[in-house]
Amino acid sequence: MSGSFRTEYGRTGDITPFKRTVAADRPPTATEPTVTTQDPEERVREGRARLSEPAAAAELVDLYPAGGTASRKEFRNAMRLLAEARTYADAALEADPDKDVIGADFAVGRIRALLPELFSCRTLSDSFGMTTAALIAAFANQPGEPLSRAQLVVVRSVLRSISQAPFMPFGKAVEVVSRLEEVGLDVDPKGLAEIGELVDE
Amino acid sequence: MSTRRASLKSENWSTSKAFVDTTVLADVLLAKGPRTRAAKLALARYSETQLPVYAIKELKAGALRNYAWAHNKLVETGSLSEAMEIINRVRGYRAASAHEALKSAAASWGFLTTAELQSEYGKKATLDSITSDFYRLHIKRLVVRAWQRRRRVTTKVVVPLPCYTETDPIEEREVLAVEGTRCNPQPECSLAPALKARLDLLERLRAVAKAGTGPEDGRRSKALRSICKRPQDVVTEEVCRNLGDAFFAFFAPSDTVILTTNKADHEPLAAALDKVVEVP
Repeated sequence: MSGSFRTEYGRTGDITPFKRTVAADRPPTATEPTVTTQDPEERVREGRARLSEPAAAAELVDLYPAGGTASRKEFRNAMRLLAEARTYADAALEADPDKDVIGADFAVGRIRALLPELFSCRTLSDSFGMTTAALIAAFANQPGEPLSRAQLVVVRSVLRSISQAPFMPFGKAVEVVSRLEEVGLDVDPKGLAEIGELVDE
Repeated sequence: MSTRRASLKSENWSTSKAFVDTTVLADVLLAKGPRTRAAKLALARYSETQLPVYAIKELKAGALRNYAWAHNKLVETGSLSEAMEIINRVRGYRAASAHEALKSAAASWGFLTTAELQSEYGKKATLDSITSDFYRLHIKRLVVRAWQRRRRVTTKVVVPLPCYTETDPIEEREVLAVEGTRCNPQPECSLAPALKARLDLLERLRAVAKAGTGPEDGRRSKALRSICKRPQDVVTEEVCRNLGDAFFAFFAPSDTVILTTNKADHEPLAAALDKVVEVP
């Protein structure tokens, strides 16, 4: 039995990434792939795929077909915020929580501060929104507690995964979030158990 | 207590086997706070844990479907407070304390929005929209994760149900659909031969169910009676489903304990067949 989950991106939940790296915000050039489909949805995806980022965030601009009702602005903001968050994760690891706990925690605090705005970009995809929500819950469940080095490594890898594939299938995003649980971060937010009680038989 | 039951009770848990009930499976897979921790610790006590496919079927038709329903209420209303009010009303206000605790928890997510974010992102940055989506996405994660992990909770998956297909939950137009909660017997329930081979045990289970007062006891008693009195008849999907807790008493191997959080319902049935129930 397959463990895949069907999503809004197709009945099997699998999508073929539409990858293209764009160096700057500009219309496509004649050498870039042109739209070949007459499917309106595909054309919308093409339009979104032309979104670009400033050169500084170039590695985040491997674009995938956009889904849902996300706007160009949201996509751009999400990519910018994720790039920033990854920079802080690098800084925290560089400071090394085993040696400079304050320095590392200071950088982690900057990541936390970005999460509310990242969650405002959740219409990008449920995978993106859920991963952001899991990070929010993970941080909220250990208020004030500095992250360990192992936890930081995983937080950075989660940020990387969602940056590189914000439209990944939901089942895949669940696996990405599971990495946080594997290093002892509790991603179930306060209140979720109560919803369970409300719907229990 | 019979000799066998006494010996199972005194046996060292680390070398014993557990036959896992749906309640424990749900506690492990879905967010239940301390209950999840207790269920996980309980499973770790046994050297072998056996999950019957029947428990997967019950999980899907029960807890998993209910979580998906809560998810869909959040999609429909776009508001945590409205969705929870509807859920609470439909459930007969049986979990008032949970409702209050959820309201208080939801209020604590106020930091996820600011006037600045609302001006930048509009309506979807309002607190109600944020908390609604926040919990909706977590519920969706739980449903998908529970289904992904259903066969990884125990050391073994046992008592296969050839007439039951474990179809994945699907998402259509934003709502979750947890379909395939019933078997498709061809021509009858795949458990029928095993059940019909031990009508004496079914009679003992029926006596317990008959003495029960709940609606589930009534359905169980009727199902057991239909097999005992008319063994030549086809065992239907409905009969199989209505066996419920009697399934676990009947199919738990004699060298296992039945691990459940619902001791009150399971114990009399298990005792009728000289089997033992443990709780996490």
